[in-house]
Amino acid sequence: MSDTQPPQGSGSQGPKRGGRRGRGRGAGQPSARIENSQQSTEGSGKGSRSRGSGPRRGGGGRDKQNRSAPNKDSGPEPSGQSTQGPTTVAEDKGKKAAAAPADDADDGEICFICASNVEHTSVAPCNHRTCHICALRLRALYKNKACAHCRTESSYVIFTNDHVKPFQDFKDSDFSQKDDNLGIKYENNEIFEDTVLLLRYNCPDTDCDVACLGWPDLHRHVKSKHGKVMCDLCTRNKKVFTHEHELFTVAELRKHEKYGDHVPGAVEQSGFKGHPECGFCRQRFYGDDELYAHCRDRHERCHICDRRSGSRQQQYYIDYNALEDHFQKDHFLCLDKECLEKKFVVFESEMDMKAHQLECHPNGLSKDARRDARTVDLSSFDYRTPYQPQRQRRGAGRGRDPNSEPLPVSSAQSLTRAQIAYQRQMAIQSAQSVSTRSFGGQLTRNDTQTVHAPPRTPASRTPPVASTPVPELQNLSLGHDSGSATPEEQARRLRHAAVIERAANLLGNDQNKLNEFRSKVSTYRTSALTATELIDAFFSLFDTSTNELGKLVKELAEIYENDSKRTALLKAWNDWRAINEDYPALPGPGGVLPGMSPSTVNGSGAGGKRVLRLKSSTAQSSRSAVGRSGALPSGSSSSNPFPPLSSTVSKKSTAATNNNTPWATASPAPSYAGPSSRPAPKPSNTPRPVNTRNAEAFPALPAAPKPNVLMAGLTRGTVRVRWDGRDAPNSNAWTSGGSGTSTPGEPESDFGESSAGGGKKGKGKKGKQTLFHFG
Amino acid sequence: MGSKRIAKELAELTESPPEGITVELANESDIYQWKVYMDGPEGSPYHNGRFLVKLSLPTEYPFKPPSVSFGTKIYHPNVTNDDKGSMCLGMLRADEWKPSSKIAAVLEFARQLLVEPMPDDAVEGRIAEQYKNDRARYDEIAREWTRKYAMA
Repeated sequence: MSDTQPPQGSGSQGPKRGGRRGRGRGAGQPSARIENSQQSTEGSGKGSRSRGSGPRRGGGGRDKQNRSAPNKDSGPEPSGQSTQGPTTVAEDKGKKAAAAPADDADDGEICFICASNVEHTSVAPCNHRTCHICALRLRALYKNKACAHCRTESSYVIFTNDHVKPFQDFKDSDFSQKDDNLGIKYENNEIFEDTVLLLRYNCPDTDCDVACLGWPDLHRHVKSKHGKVMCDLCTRNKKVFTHEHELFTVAELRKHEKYGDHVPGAVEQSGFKGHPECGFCRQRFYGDDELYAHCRDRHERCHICDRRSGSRQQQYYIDYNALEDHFQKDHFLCLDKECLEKKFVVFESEMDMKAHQLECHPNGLSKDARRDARTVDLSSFDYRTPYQPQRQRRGAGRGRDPNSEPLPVSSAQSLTRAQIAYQRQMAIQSAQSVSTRSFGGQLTRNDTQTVHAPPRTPASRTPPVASTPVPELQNLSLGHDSGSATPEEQARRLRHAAVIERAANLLGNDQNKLNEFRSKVSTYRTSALTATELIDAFFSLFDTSTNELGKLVKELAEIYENDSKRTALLKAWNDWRAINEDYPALPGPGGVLPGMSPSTVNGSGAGGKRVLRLKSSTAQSSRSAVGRSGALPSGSSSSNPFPPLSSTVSKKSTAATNNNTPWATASPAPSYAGPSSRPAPKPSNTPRPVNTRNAEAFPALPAAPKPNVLMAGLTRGTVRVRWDGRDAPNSNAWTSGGSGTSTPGEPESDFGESSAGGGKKGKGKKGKQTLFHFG
Repeated sequence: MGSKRIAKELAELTESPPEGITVELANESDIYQWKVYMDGPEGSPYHNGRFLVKLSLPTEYPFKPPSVSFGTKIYHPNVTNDDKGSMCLGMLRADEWKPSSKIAAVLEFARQLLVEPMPDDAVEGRIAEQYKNDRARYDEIAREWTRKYAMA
């Protein structure tokens, strides 16, 4: 069926559904609609409205739903509903629906949000409806469970083909599938499969129906099959479905990064103006928000200048050294050794500086100097322009007016000769404005490094309420019941608190989400949830960078006293990283399709056509979709080093028995004692058993004795290298890997102890560079 | 992704524009940049002025809010008095935006803000102070600026 007539298509589902429900709507879609229009005729006397949309159009009923809802209170009970049971609920909701936007009167089967045809409907508890694609976009990509119409959060929405049935009329028995992570209940398997197809790593090529295992796999696929590349920043940050990403040639990608996709005269313009670049690092970022976060974290700003300029323009310095130069040049930096070490001991005015010296370094001053310091130089007061004149005077007026002389460095502190010499040298350097500063000056040009603060993001992401979670830490029993407060116990509690606090921060202190986090964690503790599922759940819960999540997972893992739980969690995390690197996860299925028939998964036959149809339904420009059956088999033999997904399909297919996911079976890695263990066993030892056991499945990363490095520095380079080598016999690939990883022994030992995932650029880079050697 | 929705809204707005508002694309091939002409509402010091408002839609529209800025200089507490002329609208804040909000509503809201500035939500504190404490002077300057910049 084509995407132009989804309501009819859904009509064919009608009998099955109706029969199962036993609701008297068994005749399927059309009659249900007629019945509804009758209802509204009896109920509200507004039957004439139904003529507007006509009986053929699926959305006509929906429209009426909104219209008739407000009248339900006054009008007589619609007979159809009273037999259906929960009428009071329906009425309740009717009131809510009254708040629905009334202007979607002629939408028909067009989704109000995306203006595309509605294929399946998503109903939220507030009874607002969107198409299932918009709902999925919000929930899976934006990780936002709010209604698109009224922003009411809901833990579940229903995906259905029924255009009118209110949320509250659905019963648990109406659902064939339920996804707890995304919070979606599916009315039938067809909708479920259509939904899950969207979440796969589908190739963006319109005529290609290959679904890959993860981002690296997809990158490799588009490169080898289509000779194209994808924008790394977009795939990491852009909130679109995988197949909606764009394919570029290398030259196009350059242009995309630098200038955006503007093509003069083209019909479809994205309005995208390129990824902004950090002028210091020459590194590009997805958008202004990301560049801002980078500059905030990696570069320095002068708080004094910020205060003066009202901080609309933000000037950055490449690092503290450059900032210190600026302090010395333009403000009053305390040159005391301790103060220099403390950093940021700098003053806006000479008087503040003197006050500081009197207060903190009185011993360095002679009696005379102390007296001099107390005299306030009134000549330097100029209320109108407090800044400029002073600055000029500092250089030019030296010696003319003894009072205005800034406190000489030598008299201000008790310094050794060497220190004095050093400081003189510094002073000379700063006075003469030598190369360092002019270099910095170039880099701190306003135009390259001026970043506009994104309106609210930083504030809303780190709310100051961080203290609230702490008192609640007792409620969370991650390890076991709390006993006496031994020192270890206290330490453990502190760690709990740290985890909760981090989680709370990452979740923006959203209490609901925090509770969800808690319950997930405790279900994992009781083994009701596998580690892989827990990680999946985290990804649908947290909308944050993998680095941040990595820290959380690692802290969480350390809390578990049960070794196997801890290792399983870290393992699941590393596996996840291996597939996704730090790309955004597609939550839920995550490339592995629960409950789908292998043929669909493999993308051959009907499944393939379906993908193409789905693509065209979400694509902006719809080219004709040509089904290519058997695309994947050829791909997998020649260039796809990955086995088809079928071996992993069984994951989640049955609700309870989840221990058969290949990653989880491999999880109790034998010789792996935990994050703190030193890399005594050769890295090449551990992976082998894992690998042979799952020869079919995706190669797990070595259950490495150095999770820290893996988390902080796992880069695309490393992963690629391993995968490229995978065509060779396993042992070879891993031994070469082993020798490779043992060469950077020094980063391993250097960084083994430092806290993980720190995102410390240095570490990551170092690991990367060494690993690149054998790649 | 959102191009269909944008095209639909553009068609609706071109066909039946709200009072005192006309819309067009800044560049025929780019549906993400709109040029909106807004007539200063009657009863406000901006009356008889014609203001260029630039509406910029993100690629992720309607899941991300559009942004609105004044291309014509205007003396108003909620519009930055610089070369950007950014307008601060509550409904456009990331945490308040609803994908169901329409551009027409945004523009009508913006125009309403000309009638009734929101000094408590101001970006120009000085003008906001004046609006609250010395309305006559504020009206005078706003009218003068309107004459100077918005009546070309």
